[in-house]
Formats: sequence, C-alpha cells, structure tokens
Amino acid sequence: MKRREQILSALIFSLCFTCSGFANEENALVEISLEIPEVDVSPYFRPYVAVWLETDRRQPVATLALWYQEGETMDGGSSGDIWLKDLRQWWRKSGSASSDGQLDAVTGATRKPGVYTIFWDGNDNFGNPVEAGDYLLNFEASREEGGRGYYRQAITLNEEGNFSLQGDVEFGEITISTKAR
Amino acid sequence: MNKPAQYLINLFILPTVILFSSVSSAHSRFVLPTHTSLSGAEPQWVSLDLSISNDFFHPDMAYGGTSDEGDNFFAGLQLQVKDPSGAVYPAQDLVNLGRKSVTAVQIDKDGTYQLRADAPSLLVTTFKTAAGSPGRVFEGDELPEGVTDVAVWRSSNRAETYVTKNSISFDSLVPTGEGIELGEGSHPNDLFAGEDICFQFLMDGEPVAEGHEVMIVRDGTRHRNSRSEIPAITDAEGRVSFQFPEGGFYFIELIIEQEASAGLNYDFDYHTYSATLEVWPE
Repeated sequence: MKRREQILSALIFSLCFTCSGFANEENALVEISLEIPEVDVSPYFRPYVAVWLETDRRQPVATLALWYQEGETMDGGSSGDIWLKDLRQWWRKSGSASSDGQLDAVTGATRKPGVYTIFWDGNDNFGNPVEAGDYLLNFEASREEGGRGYYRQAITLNEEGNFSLQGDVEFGEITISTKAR
Repeated sequence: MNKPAQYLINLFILPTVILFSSVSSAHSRFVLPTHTSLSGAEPQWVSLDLSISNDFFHPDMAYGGTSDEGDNFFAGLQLQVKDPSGAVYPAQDLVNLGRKSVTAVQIDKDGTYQLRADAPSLLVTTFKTAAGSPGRVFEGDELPEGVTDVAVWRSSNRAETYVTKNSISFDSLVPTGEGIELGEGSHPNDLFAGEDICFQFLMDGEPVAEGHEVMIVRDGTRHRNSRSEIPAITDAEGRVSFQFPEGGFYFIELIIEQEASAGLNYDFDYHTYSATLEVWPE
C-alpha cells in the first residue's frame, strides 16, 4: 500500500472511531482515566493494555479497551496477537474466549505515554446492556523488555462512585467514576 | 519370571524388603516446555527438554534419543502428543544432547495439548546379596547365587506437561484409565499464584488412596538452599489442595509404591508420575 493510501485509510478509520456510536462523555456509565507513565529506558516499547470487567466471581463480562500491535509487527511477525497471552489475566478468560471481530470496537493501537480517557456505555461486546450490580474492573499492562502491571477495583454499576488507584511502573494514576442512570 | 511362593510378601513386612527406591536411580524425570500458553492465529513451535535430574529444571542426564557413548536404555522413548481433538501421535524423534534430550512440537490447533513421555513398564527384581547389600536385576537376567529377600517389582514412569493455544480445552485431559493420571480439578494451563488449586490423581482410572505424599517444587532448586516443597497429601478422593505461592515452572511428582494385586507375576508396583506446570503471577 502506498504511503498516501495508508494515511487516507488511517484518517477514515479515525473518523469512524469518533462518530460511530461509541460511548462518549454524555452516555458513559463508567468513565476511566488512566496514565501510561514515561519509562526512561532504551529501547522503549509501548505497553499492551487491557481494561475489562468481570463479575465479583471473576467471570468475564466485557472488554472495555484493548491496545496492542495489530497487523505486522516490527520484527516482521504477521501479527502482535501472538503476544496477547502476555496480558495474562485478561487473556485467561476474556481474551482467549473472544471470537474474531468481537472486540473490534474496543481494540486500538498501542498508546505512547500520556493520560487517556475511556468512556464505557454499559454494554458488553455484543452490544447487550450489562446488569446493574457488583463487578471488578481490571487493568493490565505488559511491556516488551519491561514489566507487567495488574490492578483491579470493585465497582457497582448504576451507582455513583469515585475510585482512584495508584500504579507503579506500568500504570500511573487510574481514576474511575461510575454513574447512576 | 516365576515368583517362588516363599517370596510372597505383604505390605506389613514391607520394611524387610529392599525398597525399590533404594536400588533404582530414583531420579526424577521431567518434560519441560518452552511455552505453555500461546495466542494468535498462526501455528507456533514449542521446544521441549527431557531430562533425568533431581534439580528442577536443571538437566542432568539425557532422557531419550541415542548416544554414541554410554547406554541407550531410553533410546526408544517417544514424546506422545495428544492434541485438542484427542488424536495421539508422536512428536519428532528425541535428540540426545548428553545432559538432556530435546524435541519440538508444532502447535497448530486451538485448545490444550497433552505432551507425555511414558517409559515402558518393566519388571525388576530386588534382593539382598549373601553379603547383605541391596541389589537388583532387570527382567530376563539371572539372579546371583545366595540372595535373600527377593521381590519382583513392576516399574513404570510417566512424565508429562500441557500446552494451550488460545482457549483452554478439556478433551486431551480425559483419562485413559492406564497408569497414573490427572483426574478432575484445576486445568493444568490455568494456574495463577495465590489461587486455590486442586488436582486429583487416578491410578488405572480409580482415585489413588488417601495419604500419598505429592512433591510440589518450584524451578530453581539449584540456586537456593531449601527446596521449599509445598506440602500436599492425597485425601480420600485422591486429591491434593494447595496454593502456588508465586509464578514459575513447578515440578509435581507422585510415586506409588504398593503391594500388587494377587495372581500377578510380580509382588509390588512402583509407579512414578510427574507433571511440569507453569504458574503465572497474579
């Protein structure tokens, strides 16, 4: 593919991303802010990140975000999906059980260090509303030639709540705000 | 080999028999995979080390394949692959590299593979020599003159591991009903530190008896002063329950040394089962 076409398709993709009915600030049931900290190492590889919801008995409910290297990898591998297993906790139930395409809406490229906001509309990856109640919100990051971070927070869907987690190396501050409908 | 009637021994006088473990090279045998968890659409290789060693997972003696020097006792050993559909086929021939033997398996299906090395079952006769020291001969060899405390053992050894690509599955875990195997319990490719783990052990399809010690030890024994074994003893259903304290490869071994059923051409069973399991940190 020519460079220009690549830019064009990337542009179309990003347009779709912002206008196709994804959760936003207005309709979000859960709003998450998470920081990917700067790590002063060379070479630095952006982490793979997963954010997902489980029942309080740890059954998978929905993946809210999955950032990884889709398509050809730097070393010529056919896809970064061979490293998805390194998001250990996400992979074990949510990731490995997801069928092709099921997570397309929440999947994106790896992110450089910075603070990112995730809005979740309360629907699972099939578009079905998740029942109100107690859940565990999970955060996992895994970085090539780096470490792994895993945090979880108990939340109640459809109740007002504010939570804050402090990561160490792979995550900075994570804040979670749940809303009532 | 005929079993003279006067050598029929029961468990109550087992201490007077030369224990099999005292005359066999009672070293553990392991099958160590490079990977136990794989993701993605493409087929991927897993390489495996097989070795006889008492340090985990530091190889000591080759297990399988042929060598120009030394004995080729295990030359015929094969690593058997049971794929997620339950189909069984041998891995590539083992290559003897002196301290260890190696092979590789291409993992192309989604689900859980069982990779198992069964040493052929053999009959071994133990005895006390005229001078009073313990000895043994293999099936077909003559007993020396003047020996006492003769006992015939059927010995077998199974070493295995598990590898999963994408979702775990259960078809390759279905017991065959032969020898020592895992029964119901935790999936061997879904193990995390700090979680409740349970494994059931079966012998010829039936839960093993209560009170068998199972050895559970983490990789790296060579570089620490204590082996730090996790204590585990089978309950009435042949199960052990415990937690892995941290991530790593773990060696799990159960040895069953018991009186054989009546009417067989041997007195005792000596069966060893081991599994190499990978555990992830929380």
